[in-house]
Amino acid sequence: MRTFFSGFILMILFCLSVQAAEPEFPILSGQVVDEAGVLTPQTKVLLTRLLASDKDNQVAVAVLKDLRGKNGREYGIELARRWQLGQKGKDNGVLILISKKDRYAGIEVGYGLESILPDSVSGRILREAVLPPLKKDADYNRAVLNGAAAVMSVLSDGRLKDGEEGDEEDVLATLFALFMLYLFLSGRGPRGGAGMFLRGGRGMSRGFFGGGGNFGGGGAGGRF
Amino acid sequence: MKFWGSVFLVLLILFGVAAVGGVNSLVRQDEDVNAAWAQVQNQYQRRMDLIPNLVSTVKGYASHEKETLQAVIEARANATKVSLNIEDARQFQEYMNAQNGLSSALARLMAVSENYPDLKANENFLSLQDQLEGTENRIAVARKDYIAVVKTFNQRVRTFPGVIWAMISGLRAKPVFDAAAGAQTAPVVAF
Repeated sequence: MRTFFSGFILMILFCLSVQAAEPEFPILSGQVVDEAGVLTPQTKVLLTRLLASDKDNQVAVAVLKDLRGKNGREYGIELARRWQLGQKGKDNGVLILISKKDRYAGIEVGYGLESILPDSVSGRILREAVLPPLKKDADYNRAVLNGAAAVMSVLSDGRLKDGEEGDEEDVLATLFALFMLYLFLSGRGPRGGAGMFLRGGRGMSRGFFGGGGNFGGGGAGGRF
Repeated sequence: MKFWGSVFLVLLILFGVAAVGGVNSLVRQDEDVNAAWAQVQNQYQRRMDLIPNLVSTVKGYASHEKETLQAVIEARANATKVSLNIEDARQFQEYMNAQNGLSSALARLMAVSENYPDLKANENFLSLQDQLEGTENRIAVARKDYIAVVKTFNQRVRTFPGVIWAMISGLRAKPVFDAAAGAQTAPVVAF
C-alpha cells in the first residue's frame, strides 16, 4: 500500500514537473529576445533599432536561459526554423544565439545568406567579437552588441572590417557608425540625447514576425 | 440491371478520381524525398571538397602525423569511389559506411591538431575548421530533414490506400538511416 502511495505521489510530482517545464521554444517577441534577463534596457533598444534598420534581412538576437538539453547548433537551427527568420524564398535570416547556462554562443545563417556570411566569417565573428567579452567578464551586453554590429556590417557591405584580433574598439566604432547612419537615414536627429534610447523604439512596439525563411545549418558555434 | 450498371460506373469514376489525386500527391512526396536526399549528398560532397585544403594545411604544421593524414586521404578516396542509386539498399549502406569512415578519420585528424598550438593559431586553419564544423552541422541537418520526409513517405507507401497508388505508380519505400550517427558528427569545439 505504501509503495502504491509513494508511486502515486511520484507520478503527481512527475506530472507537475512536466507542466512546470519551460516551453521548448521562446516566443519571438521582437528582434531581441532576452529570456535570461541579462541585457540592459539601453542594449535592447539600441540593438532593436540597429537590427530593424535592415529592412531586407531579418537578424534576431536571443539570449536564453538554457538550450533545453540540446546541443547548441541543434537547438539553434530548430529555433531559427521555428521563428522563420528571413523572407520566404530569400531565406535571408540570421539568428545570434547565446545560452547562459550552457555557456554557448552561436550564429545560425539562413540558406540565402550563406555566401555573404560563410561559416568562416561567422566563426571569426564569434572568436573575435562575441566570445571574448563573455569569457573575460560575462559581459552579455557587449557580446550581443559586438556580434550584431559585426553581422550587420558584413550584411551591408559584404565584408568584415579587417581589424586585428580582439579589436573590440573597431567593432564598436562600426556599430556607432551604423547607428548614426540609421538615424541620418530615418531623418530623426538624436533629440533628447540618451533619453531617446530609453523611450523604447518604434521597432519594439510594432511587433516582429518571421517572414518564412529557411535554414540549412550554416553558421558557427562555440563555448565560453 | 441498368441500376447496377450505373452504380458500377459511379464507383469506377470515384476510384479514378481518388487514384489521380493519390498518385499525384505520392509523386510529389517522392520528389520531396529525392530533394532531401540530394541535399544530404551535396553536403557530403561539400565536405569532400574541403579535405584537400585541410590536409595540406595540417601537413604544413604536423607533418609527422602521417598515419592520421593518410587515413583521411584514403577514407576520402573510398567515399569518392562509391556510386549510389538511392533505390538500392546495399549501395545506400555502402555509401553511408564510406561517409561514416570519413567522419571518424576527420574527427581523429581534428583531435590530433589540438596538439599543435601553431596550427591552431593559423588563420587559414581556423577558417577551414569553421567550414568543416559548419559542413558537419549541415550534414546533420540534411540527414534529419531526409529522415523526416522519408518517414512520412514510407508510411504512406506501406499503408492503405497509399499502397495501391504506389503499385500504380511503381514507387517504393526508400532506405533510412538512424539519426544518431549524424548527431555525433556535429561537434562544438571550444575556442
